[in-house]
Amino acid sequence: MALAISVAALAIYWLYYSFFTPYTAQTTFFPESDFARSTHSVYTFVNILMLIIFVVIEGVLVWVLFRFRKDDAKRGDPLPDQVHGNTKIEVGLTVATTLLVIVLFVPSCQQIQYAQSEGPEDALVVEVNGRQWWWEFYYPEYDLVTANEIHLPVGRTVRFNMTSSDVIHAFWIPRLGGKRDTVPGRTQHIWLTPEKVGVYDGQCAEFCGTAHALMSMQVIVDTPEDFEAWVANQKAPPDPTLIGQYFPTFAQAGCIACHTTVVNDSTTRGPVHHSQDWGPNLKKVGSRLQIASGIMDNNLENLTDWIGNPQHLKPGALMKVPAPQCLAAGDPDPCCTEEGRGNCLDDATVRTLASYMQELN
Amino acid sequence: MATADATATPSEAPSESVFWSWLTTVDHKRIGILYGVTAFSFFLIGGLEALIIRAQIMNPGQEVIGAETYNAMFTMHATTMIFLVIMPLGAAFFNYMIPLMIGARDVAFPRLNALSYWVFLFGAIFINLGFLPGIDAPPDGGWFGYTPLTLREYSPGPNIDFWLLGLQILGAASMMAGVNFITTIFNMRAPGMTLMRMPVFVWMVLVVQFLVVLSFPIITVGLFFLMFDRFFGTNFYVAAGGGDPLLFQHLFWLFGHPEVYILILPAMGIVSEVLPTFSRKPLFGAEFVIFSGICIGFLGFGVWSHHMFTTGLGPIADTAFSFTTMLIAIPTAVKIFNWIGTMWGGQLRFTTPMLFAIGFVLMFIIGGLSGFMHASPPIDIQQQDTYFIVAHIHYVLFGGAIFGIFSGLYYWMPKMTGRVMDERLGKLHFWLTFVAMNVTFFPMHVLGVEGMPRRTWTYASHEGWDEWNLIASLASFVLGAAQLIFVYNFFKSRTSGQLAGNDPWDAATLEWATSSPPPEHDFDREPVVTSSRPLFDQKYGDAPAPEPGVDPHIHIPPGSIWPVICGFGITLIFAGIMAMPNPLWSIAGGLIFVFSLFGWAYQPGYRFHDGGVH
Repeated sequence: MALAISVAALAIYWLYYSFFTPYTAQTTFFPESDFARSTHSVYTFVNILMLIIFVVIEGVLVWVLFRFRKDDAKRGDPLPDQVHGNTKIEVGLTVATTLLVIVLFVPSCQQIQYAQSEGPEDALVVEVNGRQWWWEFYYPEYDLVTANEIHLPVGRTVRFNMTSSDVIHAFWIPRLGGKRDTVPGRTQHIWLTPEKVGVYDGQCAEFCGTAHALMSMQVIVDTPEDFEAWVANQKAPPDPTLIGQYFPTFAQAGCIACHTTVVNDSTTRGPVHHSQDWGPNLKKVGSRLQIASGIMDNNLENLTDWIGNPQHLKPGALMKVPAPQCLAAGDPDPCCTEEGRGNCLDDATVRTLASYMQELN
Repeated sequence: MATADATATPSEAPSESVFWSWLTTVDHKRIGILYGVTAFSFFLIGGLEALIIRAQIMNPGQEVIGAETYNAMFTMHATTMIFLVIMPLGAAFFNYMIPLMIGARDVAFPRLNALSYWVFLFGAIFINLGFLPGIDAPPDGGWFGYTPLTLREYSPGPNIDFWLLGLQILGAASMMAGVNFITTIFNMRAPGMTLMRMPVFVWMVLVVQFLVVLSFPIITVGLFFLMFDRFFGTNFYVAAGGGDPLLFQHLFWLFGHPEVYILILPAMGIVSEVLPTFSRKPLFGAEFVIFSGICIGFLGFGVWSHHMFTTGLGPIADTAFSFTTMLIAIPTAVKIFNWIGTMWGGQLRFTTPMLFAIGFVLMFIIGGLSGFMHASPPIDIQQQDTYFIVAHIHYVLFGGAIFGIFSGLYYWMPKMTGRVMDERLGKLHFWLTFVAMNVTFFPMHVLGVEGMPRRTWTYASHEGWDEWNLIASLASFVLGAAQLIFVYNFFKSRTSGQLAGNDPWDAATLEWATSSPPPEHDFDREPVVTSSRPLFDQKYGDAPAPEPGVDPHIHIPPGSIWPVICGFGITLIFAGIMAMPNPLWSIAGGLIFVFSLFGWAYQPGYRFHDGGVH
């Protein structure tokens, strides 16, 4: 009896969540691109068939348990019919299963043919580079480099060409599409057409080391006009007074070893292979919704915390800024007494840098 | 049934201490017990690791343990459960039961069998050495150890070295055992036991051993490449050096998918023994079950890339591997139909082993259905590396393999200890496990489709994953506690359980024809087999009972210390690589290995059961 209740409870739970999954930021339900819809429709079809098979097979099994239970059967009692098998039933069920497999295989096949084709030629190309533990994006059409946040015009097909400069990551924006691994030494792609204006969360899905859990991104689908405005803002030359005010601190603190705040064209992309010392492009970091690859809102307080002690917020983060006296000594480590802390900057410098980051918008 | 004549038990040499006799044993039953006790200890350790994982992600934004510890926990939880728990618990049954079920006196190579165990034990200890306080470098690259993350450049510490060398040692143990069991099953069957009269469990073990022997060399090569990249600067997996990081994934999964069947087929075999016994019927369509098992073994080598649908293999490969993967649904469904057919029309006794066997079928169906879903690339690319997959593997490996193993433990424990395990505690264990398992793992399907990636040590509250994680974590603690009931039951029943006699369940196969526990030489008289249910024929048919008394010509191998020494040498060869570029430790291991082989070769191979060596 308890088994029957358990199976029924599982079936009801399954049924409920097949239709009433609540909205969450990274849900695979609520697809908003042609790609995500195509995967979701295969899922819906297969899921319902699986639920039906579950109910039928487990139902028969539970019925058999009720019908043939005989707990007082003892050694020496008359035996039940010693049936060794029934070839007709066996072959029948095998053939039925085979047919079902074919029915289930067809929609998958169709989706593969659609989604894995080369895609339209006039697609907006975005080159994706997975890094430990952030994302670099490059728009060849606009010669524009950015990090951890992509803007896309609604209704235009986008093609993501992906690779990685260190380990394997996986590019995944559940409501739009994915996932595709970013593999060092290879370039591969997916293409999709976002269909609705909005902000979509994505996250690295392939285990990539200590900070794997904190490697997110935002995809912002804009109207075409908003998108053009965004591009224009990103490409606008830097404000000379801002640079004059803050850049010396930025340079002196050592940030320029890995970051740039004045240009975001292709020259600021790092080498293709093996470089730990190349960080996100910061020319327009103030315009982004979030910082530290999608783990915190972009505001002065969070920026101050982040620059002051990145490893505290994101264990494993590779951002390490040795204080000037450490650089002189040639060995940064003795200057950072707090365990795991990479940045040895005084509070005033941190506050100045945070303000700078915020004004780079 | 009378228990065996006490005088039939051969006496050990009187000078041997208990410790020495276990250290040097080559008796398949004792080795089985060693495997079982070791593996069950690791089951508790691996379970503890799982509970630490669940404690860390019980609530969003918690920091019970740090990111690095978390990564080590999920790496070692999976590595432990797969290589140190499910495989060796299977090996415990193979060792103890196979010779009994086929009517043999021992396995084909008893000392090799002991060697397998000692290499396994040393490897299991070695792979866990990183946890020691002074070393503090547990493996943390995932149980799959994808390159380039596991290359020296991205994992500079010794963490990955423990993992990769440990797996090499464990692989050696598995392959030795594989060769041994294939030989045993082909050559040591009792007169009249044709292949098609073998119990289905033995058949499944035979398939598993072929999978082991054919798939472990592949991971061995993969790990050797990784070892060379890490220690000697080669570029097998370094993209910048002309290597290919994905090569490791191909090699790993070409082993890794057959490995899944290595884990599940023994459980399928156990269930195929338990269901007929407690239905009082033969297995429905035994030939179909056997051939579907073989079929799964073959297909298992042709599906590995379904673990790699997101790596961009291209549409042709995705389609082909999707199809071969879906084909596996057919033999699997055949097995499920036959288990239901076995119970249909039977007289079902809901004993604890039967409940776990039924639980296996119920849960395995769920794991099979979710597995079918991500055989479809469009579905898989959304579900891959999410909690949906975590739910799937736990339905297959916990609801499947572990339920099957518990079914086997409750079923065969009377044979091993002579006493039946307590039924009330057993049923409590079953129900707590069954309910807690479903509450723990079923919601993970929902977390997966809600986009929660796996192997993440923290998540933000605004993601909306809080409730089900909390529920899953709480249920997992119940699940963990429930396993202690089994431990208590084991110790209680071992001393005060009801006496089993030869055949407590009214079963049909040969292991129940001898005493519980069996004498060292297993059977007083070599059994003669005329059908697939030899003991059933004796009880309910017209097969003659065996002659009383003990066959005077039994000879069994004497104990040997050489397997332990040899196993230590093999372990040192691999462990010594940690000291590279200093090769002396590995060379020392090699010398011990060669030295032990001489000792081994010059030791007499058998003695008569009266204790004399001839």
